[in-house]
Amino acid sequence: MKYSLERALFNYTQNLKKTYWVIVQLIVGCAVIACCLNYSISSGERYIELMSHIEPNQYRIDAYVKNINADNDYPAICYSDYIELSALVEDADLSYIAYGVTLTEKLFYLVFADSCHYTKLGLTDNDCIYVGESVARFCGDEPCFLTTFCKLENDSIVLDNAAFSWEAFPAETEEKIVVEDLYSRNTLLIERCILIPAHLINHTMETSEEMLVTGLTFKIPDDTDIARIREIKERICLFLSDRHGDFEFAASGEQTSEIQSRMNDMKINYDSFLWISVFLMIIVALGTIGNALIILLKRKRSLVISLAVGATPRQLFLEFFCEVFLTIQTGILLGIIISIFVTPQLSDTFCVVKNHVFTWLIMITGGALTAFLVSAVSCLLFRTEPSRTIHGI
Amino acid sequence: MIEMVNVKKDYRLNGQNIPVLNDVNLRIDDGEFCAIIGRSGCGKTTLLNILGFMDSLTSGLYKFDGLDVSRTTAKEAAGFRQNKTGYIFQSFNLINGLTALENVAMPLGYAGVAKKHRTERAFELLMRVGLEQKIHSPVQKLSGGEQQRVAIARALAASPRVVLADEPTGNLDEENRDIVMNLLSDIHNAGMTIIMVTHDMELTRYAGRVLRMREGAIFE
Repeated sequence: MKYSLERALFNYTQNLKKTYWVIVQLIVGCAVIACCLNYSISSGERYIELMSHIEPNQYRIDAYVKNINADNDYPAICYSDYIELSALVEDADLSYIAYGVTLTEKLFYLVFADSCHYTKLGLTDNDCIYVGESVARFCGDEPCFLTTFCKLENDSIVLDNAAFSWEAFPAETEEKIVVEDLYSRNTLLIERCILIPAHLINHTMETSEEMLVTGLTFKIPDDTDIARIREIKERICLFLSDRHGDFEFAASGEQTSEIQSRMNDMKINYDSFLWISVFLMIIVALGTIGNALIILLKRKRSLVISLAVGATPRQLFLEFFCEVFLTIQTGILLGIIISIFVTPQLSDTFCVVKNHVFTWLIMITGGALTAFLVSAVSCLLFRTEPSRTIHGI
Repeated sequence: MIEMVNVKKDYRLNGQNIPVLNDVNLRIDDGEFCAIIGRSGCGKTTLLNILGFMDSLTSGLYKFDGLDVSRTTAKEAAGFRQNKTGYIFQSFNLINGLTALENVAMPLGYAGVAKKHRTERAFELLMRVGLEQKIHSPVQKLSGGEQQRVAIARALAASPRVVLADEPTGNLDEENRDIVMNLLSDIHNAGMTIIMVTHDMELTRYAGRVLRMREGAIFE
């Protein structure tokens, strides 16, 4: 057994010295396969990365006023914006959703970043909740603050006390006292909540000329065509920019486009990758079998001589198998290493995951298994008696 | 030591049985130098292959050291080739790329002998055949006569019971032929059983016993 391994290692080093062409074919094949895998994986990982920032199946356009105190007739998004934008929405024939509540329910979500906003609506501190950043910090990542812990029942909001983490407030703060007070009453009147029904906005509109809000968020159903999203985004952007000047759009719309584009790319890549993979698998399988047979042919003489001088078939199987295995694995390994350097040069969308151990493991295991199977098949085919071959060498 | 009774060997070619050995009866004792002569195609090499466990017989009885070896598995045959017989080929059949020493040590390697011991043994045998200066030479760089001497050393490596030589001088010139035959004669004189197949009548003078083969049968 030990001698067979010794012989296999010797033959393998001879292969490396002399028959480098045996592995060249594998290097190329494996490099291309590795590139394709890398491309696929990197596309997938990029997609996952994008999706982690955005809720699945929802496209968003976020619009924020850049400077709330700007000296402008319309310093921030106001109710009139809403009216105008509603018209745009209807005109665009898109079903917009404002934080999960459709416009048909006449609900509109307003985010107050400062108490001055709702005072401009004609609401007082007694009627409305100020949820500034200091409170928001303790309420999780959602920018909609208390709505996370509320549910709408008719015209009132029922607070879910259990969901709110009072322990999150480290000390007695003004905000905490306000919020505690609100929660102590358990139920809020709708006028006192940041979630304001459209009819109330209309009512407020009658008493207060302008409503001042800092931002709008449109959620667009995922079956909406990307071109339509772009179109309506442009229209909204144009409208708000003309009106407010210093206006900023968040990137979620861009992310949406990128995701859509990436998904389309991935579909194309996946289809082409599938075909390329099948094609390459055939080439590599043939190459592997070819290499095994070449090695078998090259070693046939020595194997038969070894058989004649007393080697057992098992010893020869091991010798041949190890040689084929080592040679093919060298090709695969070199192919993978080359692919690490080759892949990024092929396209800027390629993102090689150099430390993607799992991928390499699959590839190496796959290569090893292929080599094993091919070697085994070749060895099974190699069923000969020494006398028949030795004189015909 | 070797006994064959009514041994037959057929090869199958294109659906037809081609008889090669026909009722071969043979008995070779320990320490004999036996030459088997005959024309090409009469079955000499086939007989030698069967004697050397490199081929199987179709029917009949083959006894080696009193043991019936007519039907052996591949593993058993390998064991016999390893321990009982040493084979010398007409075309030397050395492994190119290996040195003379490595070629001679090869059967011992497959027999599981440790590297140190097999190297010592190979060196000893190469000295015996007069190639101590060429032990580290790749065999492909040796002359025909030297290669055959390496092959003889290899055949003796595992201390076999019998050495089988198939036209050992077939590829050699006259000078090397004499060297090789004298070497085989020395080995025989040291007590080794040798069975040699040849079509060269001149070589029979080295043998103590000559068997003639004609159309697959043996005649004393």
